[in-house]
Amino acid sequence: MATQEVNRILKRYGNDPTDIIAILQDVQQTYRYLPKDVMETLATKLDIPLSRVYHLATFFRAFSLEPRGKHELQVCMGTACHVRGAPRILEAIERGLKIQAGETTKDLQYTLETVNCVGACALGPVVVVDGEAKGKLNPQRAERLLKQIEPEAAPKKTKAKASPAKAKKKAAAPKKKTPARKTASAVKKTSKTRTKSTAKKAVSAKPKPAAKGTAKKRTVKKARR
Amino acid sequence: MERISSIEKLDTLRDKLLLKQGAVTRCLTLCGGTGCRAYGCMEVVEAFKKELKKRGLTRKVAVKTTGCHGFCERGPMVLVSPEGIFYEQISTKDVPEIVEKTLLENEVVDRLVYKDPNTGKPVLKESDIPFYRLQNRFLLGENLVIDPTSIDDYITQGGYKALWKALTQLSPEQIIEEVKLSGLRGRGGGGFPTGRKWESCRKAEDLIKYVICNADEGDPGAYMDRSLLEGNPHKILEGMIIGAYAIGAQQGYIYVRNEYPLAVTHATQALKDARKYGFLGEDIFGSGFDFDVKISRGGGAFVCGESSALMASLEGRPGEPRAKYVHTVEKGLFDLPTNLNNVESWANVPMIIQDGASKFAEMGTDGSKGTKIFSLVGKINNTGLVEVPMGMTLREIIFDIGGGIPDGKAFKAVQTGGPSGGCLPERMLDLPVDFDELARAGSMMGSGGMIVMDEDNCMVDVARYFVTFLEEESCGKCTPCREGLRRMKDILTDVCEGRGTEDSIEQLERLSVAMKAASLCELGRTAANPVLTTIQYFRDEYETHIRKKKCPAFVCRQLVHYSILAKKCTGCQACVRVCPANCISGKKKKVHEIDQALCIHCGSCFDVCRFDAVKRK
Repeated sequence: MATQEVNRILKRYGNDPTDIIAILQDVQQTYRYLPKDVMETLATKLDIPLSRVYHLATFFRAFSLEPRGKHELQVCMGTACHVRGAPRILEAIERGLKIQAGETTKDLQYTLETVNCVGACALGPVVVVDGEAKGKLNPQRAERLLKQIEPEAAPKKTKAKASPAKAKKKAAAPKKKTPARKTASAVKKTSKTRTKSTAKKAVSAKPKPAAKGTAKKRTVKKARR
Repeated sequence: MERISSIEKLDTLRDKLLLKQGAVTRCLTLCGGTGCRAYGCMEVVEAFKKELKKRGLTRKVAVKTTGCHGFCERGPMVLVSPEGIFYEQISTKDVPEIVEKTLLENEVVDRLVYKDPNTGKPVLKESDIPFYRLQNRFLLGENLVIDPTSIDDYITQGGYKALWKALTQLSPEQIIEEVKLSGLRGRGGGGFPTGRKWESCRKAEDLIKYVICNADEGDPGAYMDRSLLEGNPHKILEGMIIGAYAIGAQQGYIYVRNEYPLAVTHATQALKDARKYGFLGEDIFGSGFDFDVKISRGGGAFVCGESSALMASLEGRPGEPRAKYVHTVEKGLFDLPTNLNNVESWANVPMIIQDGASKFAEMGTDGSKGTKIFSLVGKINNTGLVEVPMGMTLREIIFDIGGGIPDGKAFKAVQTGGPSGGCLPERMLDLPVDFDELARAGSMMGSGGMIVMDEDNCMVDVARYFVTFLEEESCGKCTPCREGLRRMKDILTDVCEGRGTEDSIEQLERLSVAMKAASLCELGRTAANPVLTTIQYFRDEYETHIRKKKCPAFVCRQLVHYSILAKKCTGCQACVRVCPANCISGKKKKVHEIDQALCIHCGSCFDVCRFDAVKRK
């Protein structure tokens, strides 16, 4: 249960209200964001106004009120990286993930953030991927970097991919060996039909991994209707 | 571990450790700073350990991972002692060769030796490399020999001797007098005399007092505090304990950025070990003095580097500064007298106590004593940490130690002092670097960031960068800073996007005056420095942006236009492939064309074209 986890964190700091920032940091680390009910629990247990907990949660960069993605990408925007072209790296990654800095992809896979200097200036421009600094980037290399983390990013249980277009293509492509060139509408059709067929499977049997996630989502909606 | 309660015990321990160290004939020292870790130095360390084990050399050769050596450009690197051979940019593949040739056959692996970029001559020893040779590494030097996770390593280097001297041989007043005599000034940026600060805090009448080490190094492009805390945490701790004794504090805090996980780990380990030896806790060195230190992680707010904001954050409140008509040395943390110093200031203290104030005061200029660590970054050949005596000129630092600008480009400006500092042009290069000279030039020392810019950097864009940074980081408590920065950002964005008017510069100057006069803390008061110095030294660039709607450095996107030269285009399609807006048309081996209506001016085509067929203007 969530409260157990919170109690453990509180115990670590001896229920000291002056340690609230450290407590929030640990909560952030555990849940990858600050859930509303946890903040309420903290306010009650530490006997501080909830408004102050919110003030802290929104004041400091380290905290997020919304769940963050499994993979965190931090683009360094320090001065050294800036003069070596960090804004263009950020743009390339924004384009690749189809989100803006500060956002998380809908499938909760990636969170893109900017940070003010990670102190690895010799490697600039730098992007920190899940705590590991990747340096000496240019826009092209940054795009390649995204591709490198993508396969790891799709462990079995993941939901839809970042780009729906790609998922559709994947869903449409295999098995039937459709001729390579088809009009857009034809591709759409096949993808729809496939969605339906996988839909039945998904309802009847276990969910299948990878790109079928999108299909599964839709089927659930349909079934509800 | 036995408690060290007297100098005899400390000396015995050191002798024992030295004897043990002497048994190992050779040592491989690898830089394990954050920069080198990003290069993959930890894998190299593992590879060395494995290779030595394989060859049964573990007893004869020690492998040591230390803190940052400072020469970040060339990592991962290894230093072979006692010869002092320096190998740069090594990878796991080079490990067997180094072990085979250098350790077993006493030969040098030529291809891994540092080569002087100007003369091409190989430089075998670390101490002969110009980057190191021209420095005065009083603080950083120990980073090369100390394993930061080992308190014993620090003790073999004479560590905690100064603490013994301070606690048992000197009175608090004598210590303060010594620090005052040394002329040490706060290394965090303001440059306030440290001894005077301690004195005021000692004079405060409350019984409970605090000392704080400010390791919330927020200046982008500066990382010397992190490297010190990561590489030599005991030195800072020793300084803090001495300071606490002089002031009469019982509790200390290290406030460190959460973005520096390695510094947190090493500092935590250092506290643990120091407690075991009795350097922290009750009755330190039998003097009756009790003191302990706690680590507090920052929440990622730049303004928390300001002392009153930092203290608010330590109390569990949002990091908003307060007006300081009552100084923090009288009413600081929990409204009690608090002495806050920067990491580098604390690190200087043991040396001053051990060797005496006069030795420290020998280095530097009249107004600024000792050495200062700068992080030399940006468009520079030898990126890294540089420790030099105060008063060295910018030219010596940038060109002699830093090795100049890469790719034969021309130097344009150097930015010192972080977001509160300023940009200095080429004609100021002979300026001796100290607190007062930099302030006179409109910039400031700050925490020691030195960002070098070349001809490809636009100064208006740099000013906008800093203003945007500060606008985001402003806590919003006072209006001049919150609103002033926002308006400044708007005006600078207008200039960068071609909407600047003849009034823009004057508006910026007027805003600066108001912000300087009316802001609550130093963040707002100094925020205009980057704008004012760029206007002062690079006014022509602003005017070109405003009048000609052009960016001379081709940085401000809306003012740069790309087109393809039909004569030079070979139709290779490289630009077509990289264009993110898909606005370049053209078949293979036919001249390509950019659709100006769709172009987002990103410059990708310019970067990839190998035939100079993309023209920008």
